[in-house]
Amino acid sequence: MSVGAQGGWTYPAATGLHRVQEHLDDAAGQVAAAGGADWSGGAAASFADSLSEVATRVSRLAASADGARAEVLRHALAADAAVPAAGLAGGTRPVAV
Amino acid sequence: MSAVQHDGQDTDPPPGFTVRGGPATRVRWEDLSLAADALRRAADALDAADRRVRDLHAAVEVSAGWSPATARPAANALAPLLSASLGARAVADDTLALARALDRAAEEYRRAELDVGALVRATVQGSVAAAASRGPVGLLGGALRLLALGSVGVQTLALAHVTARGATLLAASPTPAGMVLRLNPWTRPLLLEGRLARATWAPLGGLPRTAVVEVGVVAAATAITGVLPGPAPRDPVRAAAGVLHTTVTLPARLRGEVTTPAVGPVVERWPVEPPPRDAAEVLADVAADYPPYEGADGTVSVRRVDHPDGARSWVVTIPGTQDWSPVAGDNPADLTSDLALMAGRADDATAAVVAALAQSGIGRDEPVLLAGHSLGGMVAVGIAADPLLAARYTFAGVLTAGSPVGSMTLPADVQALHLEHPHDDVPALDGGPNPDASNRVTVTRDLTRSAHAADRVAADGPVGAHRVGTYVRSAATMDRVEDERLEPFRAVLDRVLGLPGSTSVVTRYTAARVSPSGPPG
Repeated sequence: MSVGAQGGWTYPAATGLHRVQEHLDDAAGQVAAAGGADWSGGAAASFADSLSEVATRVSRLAASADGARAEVLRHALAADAAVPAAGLAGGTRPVAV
Repeated sequence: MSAVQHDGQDTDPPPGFTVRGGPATRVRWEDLSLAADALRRAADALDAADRRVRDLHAAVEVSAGWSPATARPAANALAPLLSASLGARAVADDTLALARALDRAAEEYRRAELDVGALVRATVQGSVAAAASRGPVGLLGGALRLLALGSVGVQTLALAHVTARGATLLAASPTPAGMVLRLNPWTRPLLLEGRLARATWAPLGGLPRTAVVEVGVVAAATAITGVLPGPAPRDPVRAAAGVLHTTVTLPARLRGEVTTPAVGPVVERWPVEPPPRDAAEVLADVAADYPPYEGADGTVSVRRVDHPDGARSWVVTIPGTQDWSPVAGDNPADLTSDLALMAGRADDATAAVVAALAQSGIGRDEPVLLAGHSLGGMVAVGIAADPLLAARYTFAGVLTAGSPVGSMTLPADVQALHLEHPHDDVPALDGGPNPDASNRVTVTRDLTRSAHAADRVAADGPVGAHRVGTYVRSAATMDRVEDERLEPFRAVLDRVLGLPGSTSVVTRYTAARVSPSGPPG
């Protein structure tokens, strides 16, 4: 979450969360695509097991990201509310770039 | 049964093993490469997600002073995504590892598809056969044509190398010719120290050793059969073996000496003991059949396995060539039987095993595993493929070690495992690779990559690489190879060798050629 001098915490938090979800969706799609190989036999079965495990873990990450969204946004809103216009007034608000 | 030293220290898959044949595997290696690329993109996306999450987490920490009450739940909510074992970076790392494993698999399949050895064999054998089909004169003309194509160089060099390796084997053999070669100050360093074999191999380095030997064998066989009148044989190796067999047996037949193998008496019946546990211990049984260990000349063993549930199964172990004399003697496990088997003719080594089977009391439905080293492996395959014997016995599996069985057929209901060393020339004497049938698996072990110093030494020459003891060690290491193509044969081993609690009794039979008019000589 990068915060510009003119922005609050909420917008970059929402953007960052959105990007995380996009990357995880992309990863899930690529993992699914990897399962399309024309391959049979025991080694293929072992690979399919490994791929399924990766897909499950990516899915869990997506669920975790989804679960984190509300808490992170809640915090960003609260932080923004605690420093109304502080950044514009005197630069006392921490700024991350 | 000899105890086999299993290497239990190293649990990683052993290096140097190649598995071919077995249950069909369908794959497009291009697909695997594409899948690996997709996994790499997935890993990249997970890495990007990880970086975003770390940014978010850092921002939450930086802004915590403005709202401490909400900062902690926000940081806790992001924690699973940053977990060292379950987080995005960990999944990215594992996904990348899977992509790399897939790359390696794709590369193996690609190499198999572009098998250089197959190309060499196809080119040279095809050319040789085409030239030989026109007879000796055609062979000369063909040679000139091959020279133009460049492949005759490989053929000639391979023939020279095979000849050098054969002379090395002969020098090491317990024969009069071997003794002469060993004692001669000129031939001793050339042969026993491997100088000639190394010198003839040098210009061939880079080509698959087995393929070179196979090409050399075909070239030698073509040379032998090419001098005969008439059209060239379809299988020059088989035909050449027939020529040689006829040659070595002709003097005895001209003298009217006719012998048949007689089996017995039973020389030894071992007490009840546990059966072998795996392929290595079965091969250790084969090794024990050799003289001067527990067997005499011409000994084969039949082990009855009694299972806890009352079922019975059998393991027949057949050693290899023990008498290298070109003149047939008492021992049927000799060069004459080798040549007869390679020529597809009746042989006394097989007859001896068949007689032992008949005396063993094997039931029609009791599964039998046939195991043999070198000549013994050929005998095992030949017996399992005999329809008359298949009607009397249930041959469940065949285990061969260092046997040239590529041109021998096997019924589809018999599972076979062929163990070979690339530095052992004997399995290549059939002039071609083993068939990749669904019931036949060929396991090749590169001895130079073994953890055992004795194996690496054995790789230095054809004698050590062919020894049954070297094969026993390879089989012991093979037990750690995880490959689904080995499973059908391992299932046969389990079925025949039984569960813990099974017991077994070994009976050894000794065969000797006898004249119908008199007792064994």
